Amino acid sequence: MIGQGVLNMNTISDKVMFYRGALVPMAATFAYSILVMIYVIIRSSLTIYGSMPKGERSLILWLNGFSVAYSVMIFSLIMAMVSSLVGAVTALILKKVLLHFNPQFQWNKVLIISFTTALALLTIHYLLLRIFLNGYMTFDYPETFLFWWGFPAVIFLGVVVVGSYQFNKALLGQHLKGNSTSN
Amino acid sequence: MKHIKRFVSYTLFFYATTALIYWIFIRPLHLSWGATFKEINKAMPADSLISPNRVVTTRAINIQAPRERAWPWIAQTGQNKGGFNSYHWLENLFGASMVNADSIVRQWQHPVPGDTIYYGKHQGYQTISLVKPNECYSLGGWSFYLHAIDSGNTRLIIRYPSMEVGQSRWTSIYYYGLFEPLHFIMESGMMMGIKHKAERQK
Repeated sequence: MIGQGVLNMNTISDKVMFYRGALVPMAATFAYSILVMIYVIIRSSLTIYGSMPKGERSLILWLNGFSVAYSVMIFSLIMAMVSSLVGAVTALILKKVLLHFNPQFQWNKVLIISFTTALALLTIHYLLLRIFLNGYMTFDYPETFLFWWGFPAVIFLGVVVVGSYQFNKALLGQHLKGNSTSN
Repeated sequence: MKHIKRFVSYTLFFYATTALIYWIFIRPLHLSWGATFKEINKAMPADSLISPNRVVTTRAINIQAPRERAWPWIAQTGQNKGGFNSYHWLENLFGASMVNADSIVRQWQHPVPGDTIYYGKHQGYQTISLVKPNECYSLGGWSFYLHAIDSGNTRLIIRYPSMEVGQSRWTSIYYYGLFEPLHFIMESGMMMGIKHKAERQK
């Protein structure tokens, strides 16, 4: 029966958790950046299309498109470094929390623990931003809030929950394998 | 995990290609977008405000309207006035609280040297350094010139003194990586915004 026995703490090393925890948010940052890139290129191109005469459009469309892509790329590389670090630390925290509170790998507990941990980390992140960027944080426009915090927070929640699910699946697999070998 | 690794690798390859294209083809063109060789090298009234060790860009655009119709939009430039006529939705992502005026506001039509112009809410500002109505407007060296081609057409030329050469590595990364392309996006957007508004005005 699933959920029997206590886990061996060394089945998935901290090094592996750190590496995977760093890689997944990096990919998520890149994916988000590419979506932002596409959105900005399309929206600004529509404006250009409406302002410039036919013969003068193509050059500015290319220049604008690549300038958007290049600047988003630089920003996304910086953010990928930050999010990798945050992701790696989050993965280690999650591992400890899951092993401590869910030694029997129950799926419903995984969902609750990962969701709660992600929410707690997001709350800390939000409070830190409020403290350090108080004068500069403005959510006057919903798109500002969604762009800088709303969408990344949703992605973070999703990554943490899915990552925890995968982690639990791997642990469970190893556990069952261990049980069948010993039998 | 294999798919994620592959996605990261492809993205990095895409980024490297984009950077290469940007540096070889795009940047040399956007530094003087629309400007002729003569305009790039021409001495302008506000050039004295630009220190010689700066990277300078000169960009130009044709406006199918007399310069008197383009001027009011330049005169009311500023976050604390009629906006920058550029991509306000992009500026607002950075918390600028920018609103582009859709009409000419009479109270903003008389800028004078010394007036403070904000780039965004809680952000940088500059004072107006030179004003010649219908001809020239300068914000600490960032200068807008209106040249009449004929009675119904105008040339808008913008000269911008950006980073001083010989800066630290981090400043250079910030400048060449972010500031310069973003400034081009916003400045070209502004030029097209002024063109659009001047041309539609009756």
